[in-house]
Amino acid sequence: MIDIQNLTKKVQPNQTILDNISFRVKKGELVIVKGVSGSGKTTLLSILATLDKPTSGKVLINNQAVHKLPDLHLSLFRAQHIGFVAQHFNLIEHLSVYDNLLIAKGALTNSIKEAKSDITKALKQANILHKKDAIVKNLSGGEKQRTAIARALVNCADILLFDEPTAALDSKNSQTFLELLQNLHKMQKTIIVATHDPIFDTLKAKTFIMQDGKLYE
Amino acid sequence: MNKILLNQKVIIYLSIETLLLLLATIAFFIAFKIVKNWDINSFTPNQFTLERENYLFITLVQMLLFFSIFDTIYFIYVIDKLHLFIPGAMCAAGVINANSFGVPLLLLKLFFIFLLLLWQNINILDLREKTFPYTKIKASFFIIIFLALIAIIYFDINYFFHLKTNLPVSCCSTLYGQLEGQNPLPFNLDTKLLLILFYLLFIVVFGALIGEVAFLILLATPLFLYIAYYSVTYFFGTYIYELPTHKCPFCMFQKEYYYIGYLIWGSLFLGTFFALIWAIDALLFKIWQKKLKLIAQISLFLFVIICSSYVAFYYFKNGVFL
Amino acid sequence: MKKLMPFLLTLLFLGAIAIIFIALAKKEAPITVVTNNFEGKPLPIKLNKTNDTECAMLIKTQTNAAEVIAPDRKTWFFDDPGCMVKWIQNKPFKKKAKLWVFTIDTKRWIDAKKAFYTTTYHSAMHYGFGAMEKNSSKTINFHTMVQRMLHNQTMANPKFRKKLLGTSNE
Repeated sequence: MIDIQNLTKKVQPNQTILDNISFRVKKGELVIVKGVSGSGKTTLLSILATLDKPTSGKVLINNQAVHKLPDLHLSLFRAQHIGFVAQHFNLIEHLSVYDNLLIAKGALTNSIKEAKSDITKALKQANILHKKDAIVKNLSGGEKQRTAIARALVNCADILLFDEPTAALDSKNSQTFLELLQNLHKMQKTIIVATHDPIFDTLKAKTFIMQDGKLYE
Repeated sequence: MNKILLNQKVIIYLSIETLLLLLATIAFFIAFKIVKNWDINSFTPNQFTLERENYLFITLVQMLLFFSIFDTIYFIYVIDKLHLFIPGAMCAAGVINANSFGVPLLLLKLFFIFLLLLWQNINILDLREKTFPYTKIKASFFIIIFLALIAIIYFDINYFFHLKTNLPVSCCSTLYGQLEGQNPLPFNLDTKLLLILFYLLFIVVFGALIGEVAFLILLATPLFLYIAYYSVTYFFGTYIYELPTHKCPFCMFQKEYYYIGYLIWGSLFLGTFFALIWAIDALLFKIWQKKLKLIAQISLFLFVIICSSYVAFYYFKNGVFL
Repeated sequence: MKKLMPFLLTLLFLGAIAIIFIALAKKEAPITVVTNNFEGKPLPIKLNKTNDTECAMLIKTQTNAAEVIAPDRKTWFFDDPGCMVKWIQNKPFKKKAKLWVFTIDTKRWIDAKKAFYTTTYHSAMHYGFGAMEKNSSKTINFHTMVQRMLHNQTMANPKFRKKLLGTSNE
């Protein structure tokens, strides 16, 4: 499903962020990447989310070398296959929950009817349907996160990437998130979570540890 | 110092040309690297760098295309305005014929736009695929385009440096007027045959676009362009100026004729260029682009309608032909 | 119809090509220059079908017409000796070329440099120079004619015209 070989990312000739990383993730697997901040977790996720390009090395998603695609195809691929929940959620604050999802869905469909039913389904899965018409900036941290998750689900992406999902949550909300994560895992989604929060130790998942740009199992 | 070179419009024009050369030079170096090192199946740092630079390359050439179209229109505007400084010139015709660099420069500039449009077309086809199949062709092609730009700059410099404000030039009536009894039209045509050819070739090109007969477009369009040039200069132009002896392709760019020249020549070149590019796509890449075809059809139709309506309106207004 | 269309259009295109060829074959353009005049003798002018290279007019009469034969045997035609003088000034073969005029009095081609010229003749371009074989009190020689032509001292110049007509007793 996801096959990474010799992935290296440098921002300057002498500043290596990811150093020759290789690993595989099978379909439906739940993977936790642990590491202190600055260890390169976010960069790794950005590359997996096709938002950033590697300096060298292969990133194969569904056997496709995604970074070799022309921009237009890459955008399409990202919209269809990848749901990315960023650390600060990157929602559009002055729009409603529904409109935030509509923007994501609108990239792939022209049918209002189809968009409506998919958005409702995603909102239900992320457990945020009751706040459908609320403006995002009035939401709490947990609600914002669930909106971001709903947005990641709206195009039926099969790969979900979470960057520090519990950083902005209190312990009660973190627990709710863990339940949601397990539900998503049951739905056969491939999930990669980058975090330094020990709360994830309780989960049954494949765990990697990242340190100074290198990955250890 | 040459007075022409201190003219504000000429300074602006030459500055734009310098800017274009700068853009093209950067693009040229990237193109050169792509031709040499491009390998989409490689995962080395070099290839990833090239892939990123490829987008810079594309953006640069697209800017080059955009600016060149603007720049060519501006060039015509500038030489049209310069007739005030050059004794004897009444419109751009005298200015452009003031030395032997002018006409080749204009033709080169038009050809340059055609090349860039063709490049842009290959670029669109390239990015439509997932594997960048034409990137190397695109880069090699750009090297030719770059050489054409160098030629344009060479002619630019020579043209403006050799424009003399003290030497009288001919006005359009001497340049496009004729030796008494001699025929200025190509192939020894008379006006009647020229018009028959004009409409016949238009039907062939337009019909071939509808029927998607690519090889015929490739053959007939250049001939149509050639005949259309003479038809506008020696027949339709006289109706635009409403004067049977006024034969000039440039005066119609002036305010007195509502700048109609920009529309007439613009639609002709747009139509023929797009028709040719459509045909090249169909023959070379086996891709039939609907949008290109539509633009070509609309432009050519517009061109013929504008030209013909000048004659028709003149006839309705005055009851006679010129 | 769709199958027939390429065929029909090709036929139309061939028609267009045919028109071009028919037009090409139809008639000859006016003469401006004749090559390979090996004898070096003045050629008879085809009236109304030959262009004066300087002023671009058709030559309508042979009387007072002129010809230039270059060393490479190319021949040019003029309807007025003044046109010929004007035209040849910046040519590299100015000195070596043979110049001919058709005289008014004897009606034949003679060497232009040996001819004499009246100054008030009604010539084609109104310069006033009429070629004569015989000298008289009213004529000037070739050299003077060239000088007057180059200094705009011709009948075409209104000021000089007055002077010319004033001094002569016409």
